[in-house]
Amino acid sequence: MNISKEVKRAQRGKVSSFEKLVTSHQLILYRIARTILSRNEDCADAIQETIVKAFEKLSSLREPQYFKTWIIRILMNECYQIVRKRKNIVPFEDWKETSSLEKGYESIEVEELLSVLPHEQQELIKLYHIEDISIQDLSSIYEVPENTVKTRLRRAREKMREILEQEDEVQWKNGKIK
Amino acid sequence: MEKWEDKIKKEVNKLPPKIITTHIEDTLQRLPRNRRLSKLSLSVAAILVAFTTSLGMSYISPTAADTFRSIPIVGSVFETVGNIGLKKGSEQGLTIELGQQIEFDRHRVTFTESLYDGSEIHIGYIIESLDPTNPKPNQNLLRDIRFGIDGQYIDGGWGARGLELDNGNYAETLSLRPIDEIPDNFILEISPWEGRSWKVNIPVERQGDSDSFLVNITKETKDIILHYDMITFFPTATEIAFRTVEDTSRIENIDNSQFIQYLVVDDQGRVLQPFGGGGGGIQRGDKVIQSLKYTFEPLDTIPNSLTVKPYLESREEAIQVQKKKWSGEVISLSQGGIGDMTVLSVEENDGVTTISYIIDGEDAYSQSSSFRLEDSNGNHYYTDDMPPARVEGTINQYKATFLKAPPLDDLFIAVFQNDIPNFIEELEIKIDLQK
Repeated sequence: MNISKEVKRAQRGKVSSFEKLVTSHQLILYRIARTILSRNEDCADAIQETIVKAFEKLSSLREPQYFKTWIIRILMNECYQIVRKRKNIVPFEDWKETSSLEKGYESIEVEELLSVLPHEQQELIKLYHIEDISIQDLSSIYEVPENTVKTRLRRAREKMREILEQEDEVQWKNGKIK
Repeated sequence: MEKWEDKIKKEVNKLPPKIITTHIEDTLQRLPRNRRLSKLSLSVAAILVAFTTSLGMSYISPTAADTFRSIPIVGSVFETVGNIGLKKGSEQGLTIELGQQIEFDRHRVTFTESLYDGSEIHIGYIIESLDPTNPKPNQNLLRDIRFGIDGQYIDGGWGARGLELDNGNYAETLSLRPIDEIPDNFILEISPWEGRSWKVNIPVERQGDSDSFLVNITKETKDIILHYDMITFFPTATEIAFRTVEDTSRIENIDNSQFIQYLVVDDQGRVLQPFGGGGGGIQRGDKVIQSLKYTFEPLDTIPNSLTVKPYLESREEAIQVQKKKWSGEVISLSQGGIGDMTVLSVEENDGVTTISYIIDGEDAYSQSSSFRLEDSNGNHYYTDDMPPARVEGTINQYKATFLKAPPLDDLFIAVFQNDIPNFIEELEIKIDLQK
């Protein structure tokens, strides 16, 4: 799909083009929302609001090729609003709930470790690991130069390494802490 | 990639559960189909950094009273900057005076009037800067906003037109056309798209009488079916409601040259000034059905008939210009295939230059603003009246004023040349209103 072409068509009032755009981005929208919100119901609400706002404000998007990061920014704002309203910044406990369904202790442990990082670094690391999100995208989402994104990522990863090294008792073995 | 990163990668790349995909599908289903916003709609998205909360007021405060006094024409924004429909509505006393003020982003907005006669909802307001270091207000302050009626957000098209006042404040009118039916009396809520830092509640009451005529006539071409539903004469506008049925393929491949616009001519040959239009639609198989309403200037009396002439919107951009020097005698200039402009007089009084002229041609309304003034050095001057006013009691005589213009002995009139509009004759209709 040619994103720019579809955006231009949608801007001219073609709703089916807007639908195509949203459908092709629904995976990434969910994954982004899930990095901020713990409950799938909240993710659904945030995505719903995002779709409506994106539809209403599509004409304000000057550069069609930036549709992805533009709609992600709208989504993140919606997610933050929900967080502010409910004051439920994604805690690892909630991740634990969903992860435990898969019997995967590893994710719990990773989230526990990640939770030691400041919130901004947690978010950046999670976003960075979402498929289809590039450094360039992060630069556009955060509206900072790519080098700044790289520096922030490097610092976050170094911190994670430090934490892992300090946690002597933490030994990775078959995904369990011994 | 380190092991912990590998695990994060797995964690953040899960597939969405059914609740998400269902929600997305539902939301997309509920979007208005093939919606077109009003021609007036503005796409400028202003990023508002809002600081303070609203001050809803049921009385006119001293600051609001001062602001009202700054409006040149008896304190009315509608009469100062409104289109001819709003001016007529205001003259007929259909407005409700307001006094609400909101302060945010170092600006104060004073809402002065509301008017609703069953057509569009109109709100008048003044924007003033509260920043002593930057006394010029942001004219795009109220762009990224949304509307609610009696507590429910609504969907629709809206537009605004404004004017900088002598004291530097900015007066603007906002016209809103909700897509769905609305009650006769309601509270209109205006708030920012982002955040909840301010909002204003404006009481709106339907005022004035209107006359509606059922038309119920269908016209068609091989691509388009156009069903004329109704004509309504409101105090502020003449509204034509109709439905179109078009092939989905035409809608999907549409470009600017294929949008249909409508030229409306009364029984005396007056071309009505278009205000805007829009609506929504649904897709049924390979057809798209749209319900649309277009508004035009109001008429004082109901004519014997109205002729609606649909045409394809885009015409070739005017590139050819014909220019003639004003020598005090009547001159005629060709506007290309579309018609001619005959300049009757050019007068200068108290620094204001007024041109009187007659338009002959197919679209007197658009032709009336399709010219500019020039001087011998090639400087360009444009009319302050957009669009120029048709002289009361005439069919096609107009007056345009210029606050900046060349001296009369070095004044050239330059007209842009256009082709005749691409009328779709099969869809044209003459509606008899005497039945």
